Formats: sequence, structure tokens, C-alpha cells
Amino acid sequence: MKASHRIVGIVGAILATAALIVFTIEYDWMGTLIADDMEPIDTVYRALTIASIPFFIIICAILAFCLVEFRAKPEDDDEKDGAPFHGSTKIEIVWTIIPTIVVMALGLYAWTVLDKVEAAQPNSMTIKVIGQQFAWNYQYPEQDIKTGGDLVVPVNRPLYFEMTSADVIHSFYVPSARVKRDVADGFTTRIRFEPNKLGSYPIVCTELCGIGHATMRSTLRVVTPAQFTAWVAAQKSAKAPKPTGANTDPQTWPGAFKNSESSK
Amino acid sequence: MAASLRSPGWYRAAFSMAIGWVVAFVLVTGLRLILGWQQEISWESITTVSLITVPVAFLYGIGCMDYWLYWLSGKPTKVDDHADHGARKWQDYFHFNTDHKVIGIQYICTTFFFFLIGGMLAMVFRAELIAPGMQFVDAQTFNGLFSSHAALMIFLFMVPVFAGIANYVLPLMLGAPDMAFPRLNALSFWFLPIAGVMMCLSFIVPGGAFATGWTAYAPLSMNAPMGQTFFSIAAQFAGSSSILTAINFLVTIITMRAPGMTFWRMPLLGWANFATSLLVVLATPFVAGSQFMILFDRALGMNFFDAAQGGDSVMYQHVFWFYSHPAVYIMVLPGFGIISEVISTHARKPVFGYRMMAFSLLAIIVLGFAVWAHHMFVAPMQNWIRIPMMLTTMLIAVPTGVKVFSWLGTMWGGVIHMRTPMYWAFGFITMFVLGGISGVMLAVVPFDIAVSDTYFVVAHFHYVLFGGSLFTIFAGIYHWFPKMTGRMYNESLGKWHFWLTFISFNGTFGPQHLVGLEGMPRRVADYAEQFAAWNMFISISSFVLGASVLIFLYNMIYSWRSGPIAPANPWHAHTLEWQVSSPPPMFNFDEVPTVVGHPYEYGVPGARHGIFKEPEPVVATVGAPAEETVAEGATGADDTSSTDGDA
Repeated sequence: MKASHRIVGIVGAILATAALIVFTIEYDWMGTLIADDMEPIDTVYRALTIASIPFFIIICAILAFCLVEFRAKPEDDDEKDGAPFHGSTKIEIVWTIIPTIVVMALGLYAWTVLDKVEAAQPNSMTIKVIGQQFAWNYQYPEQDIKTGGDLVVPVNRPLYFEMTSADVIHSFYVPSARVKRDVADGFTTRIRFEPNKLGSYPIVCTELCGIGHATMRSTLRVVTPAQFTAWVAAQKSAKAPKPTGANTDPQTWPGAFKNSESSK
Repeated sequence: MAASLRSPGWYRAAFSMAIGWVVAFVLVTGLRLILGWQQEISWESITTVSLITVPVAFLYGIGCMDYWLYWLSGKPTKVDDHADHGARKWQDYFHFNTDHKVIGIQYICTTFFFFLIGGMLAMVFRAELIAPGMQFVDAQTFNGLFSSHAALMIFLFMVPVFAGIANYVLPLMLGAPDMAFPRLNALSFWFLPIAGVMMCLSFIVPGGAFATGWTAYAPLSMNAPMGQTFFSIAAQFAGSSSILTAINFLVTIITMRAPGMTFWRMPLLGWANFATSLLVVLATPFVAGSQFMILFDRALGMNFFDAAQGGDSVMYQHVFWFYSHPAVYIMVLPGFGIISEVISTHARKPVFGYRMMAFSLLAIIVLGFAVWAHHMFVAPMQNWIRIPMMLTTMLIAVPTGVKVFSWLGTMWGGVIHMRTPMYWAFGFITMFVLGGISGVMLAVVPFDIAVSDTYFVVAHFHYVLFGGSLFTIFAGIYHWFPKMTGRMYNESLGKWHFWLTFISFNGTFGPQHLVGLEGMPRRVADYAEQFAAWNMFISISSFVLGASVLIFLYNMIYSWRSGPIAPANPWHAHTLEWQVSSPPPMFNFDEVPTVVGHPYEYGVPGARHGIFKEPEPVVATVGAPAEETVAEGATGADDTSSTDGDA
């Protein structure tokens, strides 16, 4: 291989690494984030990706180099052998120690992030979540409300969820808050987050729970404190007669129930 | 007719299966009558019992138990002169045979048959997922499709196909005439079609196929329709098959190496299967246990997992993953061995860091037992346990990284022949590294909480199992095709197969990372509009991926029938299997080889791995350790001829 080719290759690898890192930082990977205190999870994702890029590029570059430099020439005898070296203890120690340090450092960093995003907040509002085939039910002990409709919450107030299931295992997932936890009969699982953006966001079940799993969805509606108070009042007055069931918000999940008869 | 019903074969199998069903009917109905149950005939109970009696009757009918039954009843056993070894015509592959080469081919063809079925199921549900809403199948069928896809791919393809390749190649590599227990070997093969057919049959029972995923989480699986029972019992047969094969491999590797082949002179495929078999023997009983618990909960009302009765549904997940995480290594470690052979042979270089390659396999199996709960980071278990599980999981990247770097070191400075197996090896390294990277990411608890049970996970394990394991399987099949069939495969078709697979594989599974990060859950028949564009792209790529398998099939079938005749050693490799004719003679080696050096001494002047003459009498000047090894190996080889008979 010519020296100029090598330089082009090395520069190309460095540029590819840089471009991928910039892309990783700039690209909106996980969609809207409504909870500012969950920002570190997105950062963990980016940190892991950025740490992996040079590793992957180096492996690809070495493979490409081997392919060009060490490929058998047409005139080579089929029995021509490579250089008979069997290894190098020094290199092996290096490529054992460095990855160990890198993964352990990332692991410890992730540990601190986990503690941070799961730390209990003062003044939290507790909401009970009960999963059932195939709907989410919510109870607000503080307000004394039960609903099978949307999960309506006030903005900028820490939320604390205590969750269980009435039948099989489900998983309560709010993609825009990056939180998820299984709910199971006989267990109470807990998650928390604080929504900081008004609007409607999907809630989905991510643990296979039977025939209606795909459509076991609900909507998180983050509203202003005033709207929340009004909603609580409306719920209380309408409490007795209104039967509740799985609710879907067509604006959040267009197409969700396009053909729901066949899935029932 | 009467004679064909008495001798082992398909007629006797069909007849005894009918008897097996009648036994189940009489047993269940009789018991219900005696116990005074109101409804005497319960088809569900009869079916459950017949799922055990009919397969056992089949095994008897096909001839798996003849020798043992004769011995048990005190009748004179057939003298095992191995006259029935080898396959003379293609029909011989459909009969009971104790030759490891025949069993190897039977294994590989059977597992590829179920691979095709599993692939076609994937085509159907990718067609369903081409757009939001429901297109072709209903939700229950959809759940059944992806559940059977996973179950067939894991239990009937990934795990056993490696056993098949090793079955054929390993005794040859070790210089052994056969596996240690040939009859056990045949029995463990015949468990496989039973398990596969049972899983496929679940589609035609009332309620449809098992639809709770291959994970069959309780309590969902406890009250699922009858198809679930088919899965629970099929998993027992598949599991028994892999346990018996693993025992066979362990004994073969420990006791039947050729004289002079110390553990440190053993090819890395031997090491890989040694490590894998240890893992199988230790871990597989756990999945058997978990499925028995499900079966007993369903059939007998044990209430292991019913919270209302004091059961614990999360216990199921612990028992299940205690096997099923090691299963991931069961499905990839033999592939590591294949890749080491392929790269060293086609780059004509000694394996870089041979001992570290072996030690890293052992490190992976030890660590592999301490990571199972990383599948349960969002499950109801103590929060603190997530941290040690995260750290051990991330540590597995270290021995795995050592292997990847050592493969690069093996290529470095070699003379690389870009034949089809080498294309797959290159594809494997790049794709497996990507799967490993997303694996480390998923080990990180806060990130895992966000993407667990989304398409990100689906993308990850397809990069590991398809881009990782399946690519090594293709590498191995092409690499040993000349040895197994005595014919050469077609190189340009092999390369077309590689490129089409490589590109459409990335088109199928690459974008799944993106939709997963955006929050698309896995195992859903229907999804939100925002994921529609990528899913259409994924589905179309997956159809191309499915089509690429046809090239492979054509190449294999055509080349097997009428490819050019293969020389004994087309790759000029040093390991023992290439030192005999293609295909090998009936008893592998006409004279016992003596191993005098390492298996990968490419470029070392005058180096030999095995020589074919009787071991010379030990001379006093030879160093003491070497003397010991040769003597040990020689005794081992003598033993094999006698153990062969009483297996």
C-alpha cells in the first residue's frame, strides 16, 4: 500500500469518527423529552454512543487495512503462509486493561445517573397505576379520584407512581419521560418523574400481555395547575354515573384503532 | 408388512405412535372414570398426556431404544460392528444411524428446515407490520407468529445447528473415530424433529399457536390456550437434546483426543464446544424446570406463579433467565470457535493469543452466570441488584473484546484468501461488534429502563444472533462444505449470498434501533403512525433478506449434487479433519493420527500438527512432560474402541 493511501485512510477514519460524533450529539434520537430531570438518561445514551464510535471505527479500519495490505496476490501460491507470530503478551494486557477501565468507568457513571433520576423528590403527588388486560387505570389518593381515562397531571409537580396489576404482567412506559417499569400482581413497583412540558404524550404497555397488548395504550395529559384543579372538580362531579374504560386519544395515536374489531 | 412393523423404521414409528395415543386416551379417560370426574373425556388432558406418550413411542419406533431394550430385557444385543455406519443413499439420512457424520448432516439439514419455517413466519409478520393497523392476520395469530419464530430459531436452529456442525467436525478434528456415545448421539438428534414438529403443530390446535413469546412469562402463559402446552413440552425435548449432546461432547473432548493432542494443542473449535457444553449442562436444566413449572401450573394447578394463591410471577423470570442468558452464549461461543478456524485457515496465520482465546471463552461462561437479571431491570425486583448485574454484564465486553482483537491480530500479516467463509468472517466481526456495543448500552440501567422491551432490544439481539451467530454458521457451512459433501460450493453464488444478506440485514435491523429509541414497543401487531415509514422500509428489507436465503439453498443443493469434486484439503489447512479424504472414510482415520504440534502453525518452518503413523516407543531422551502426554493419549485412544460398544 502506498503511503499516500494510508494517509487518506487514516484521515478518512478520523473524519468519519468526528462526523458520527457530531451526528450523535446533534440528532434527536429519542424524541420529545418532557421531564427535565430525565435529561441525564439522554446524555448517558450519547456518552455510550460516543465512546463506542472510535472503537467501531478502529476495528473497521484495521479490517479494511488487512483486506488491502495482506490480501493474497493472484501470483501467490495457495500454500504461502503469513508471518508466524503467535501473539504478544504486552498487547493482550493492553487490550484487556483498557476496555476494563472504560466499561467500569461508564458503569460507575451510569450508577450515579441512576441514583439521580430515581431520587425521591419532596412535594410529590402520588398516583396509583393499575394495569389490566388491556387498559390502564389511575387512582389519585390525594384528590380521591379514580379514572380509566387519560392520565391528567399538573405541570412542574414531581409525580410518584405506585403501580400494580390486576392480572398478568404489564409494563408502564412513558417514552417522552424515559421511564418504564413492569407492573405485576402481588408486587408494587414505583417510578417517578416531573413533567415540565404541557401537552399530550403516549403511554404504552411494553410487556406482552395477550391479544390486546398492541393497543393497550393511554395518554398522558400534562396541564396547567388551574386546568388540573378544574379537571379534578369535573371528575368528582361526574364520578358516579360515568363508566370508564380504556381511552385513546386519536390525536396522539392516529391509526391506533383503525381496525380494532379484528384485534378484539 | 409384519416384518416392517417389527424392524425399526417409519412404519413401526407410525404404528407405535398410534399405540402411544391410545395409551394416553386410556390412561386419562380411565383415571377420570375411576376418580369419578363428571366429564369423563377431556380432550385437552388427553392431548397433554399424548404429547409425552406419542413422542416416546416415535423414538421407540424409529429405533432409538432397540439396543437398550434388548439389553434391558436380557435378550442378546445386536453385535455392534458399525456395519450400518455411513449413508449410502439419501434415504439413509431418514433412518436411525449412529455415525457422527450422518448425525451431523441430519442435524444441520433438520435445523435449517426449521430455520426456513421460522424465517417464513417472520416474513408473514413483517408483512403484517408493513403498515399501521391490521392487514392480514389478527392479533392472536400475530402473537403466535412471533412467538413461534423466536422459539423455532432459538430451540430448533441456533442451539442445535452448532451441535450439528460440531457433531460432524469435532471428532474429525480431535482424531477420534466417532463421538463417545454414538447411540446417545442418535437419540439426541431424534429429539429435535419431535420438538420442532410439536411447536409447528400448535398452530392447528384450538386457540392457535402459543402466543406468549418464547419467554412464556407467567402468569400470562398459565391461562393461555392449549398451544402453550405444546411449547412447554417441546422445550423439554429440545432441552433434553442439547443436554445429552453436551454430555457427549464433554466426554468426547476429554477422553477421545488423539494421542499427543493435549488441551493446549486442541483446535479452538474444540475449546469453544467444551466451554459451550459446560454451559449447556449447567444451565439447560433451569429452562426445563421453568417450563415444567408452567406445565404443572396449567395441567395440575400447582399455583407456582399465581399471586392470588401465594405464587410469585417474578420467580419464573429468574429461573427462566438463569438459563436463557447463558443460552445467548450457548448460541454464540461455538461460532467464536468456527470463526477462529476460518480466519486462521484463510489468512494462513497462527491464531493470535491462542491461550487467551481459550481463557476468554472460560471467562465468558463464568461471567455469563452472573448477569441474568439484566433482562429484568424493569421487573419487580430489589433495586440494588441492578447495579452488580450491570457491572458484570459490562465486564463481559472485556473477554469478548479480547476475542475480537485477537481475530484482527490473526489476520494481521497474513495471506488473506477472500473465499466465501472469509466474507462471512468479516461480516461477522463488524456486525457482532455493533451487537456487542448495543449490548453494553443495554447493560446500562438508566438507558435500559428507557429502551427495554422496545425495538432497540429487537435490533440488538438480531445483530448478535443474526449478524453474529448466523454469520458464523454460514462461514462454517461454507468452510466445511467440501469436507462434508466431497464437492466444492460455487464461490460466486456464495459471495452473492453474502452481499445480499449483509445489505438487507442492515436494512432490516439497523432502523429498528431508531424506532426503538423513539419508543416503539416490541411484540406489537399494531403501532403508531410516527413509525410507519421506517416499518415499511424494514419490512421490504426483510423480504430481500428472506430471498437471499434462496441463493444459499440453491448453492447448497446444486453443489451437493453436481459441484466439482473436492480435494481432501482444499484450503491447505493443518487441522486433522483436512488430512483425510473428502468426505472422510467410514471410521474417519484408517490409522490413528498422532498429534505432534499446535493446530495453527502456518508459516513455522517444518511444523506439523498431526502425523499418521503409530506413536513411536517413548525414548528416554524425550522430556518427561511430553512422554506423559503421549502415553495418556495413547491409552485414551485404546479405551475408545471398548467404550464405543457399551455406550
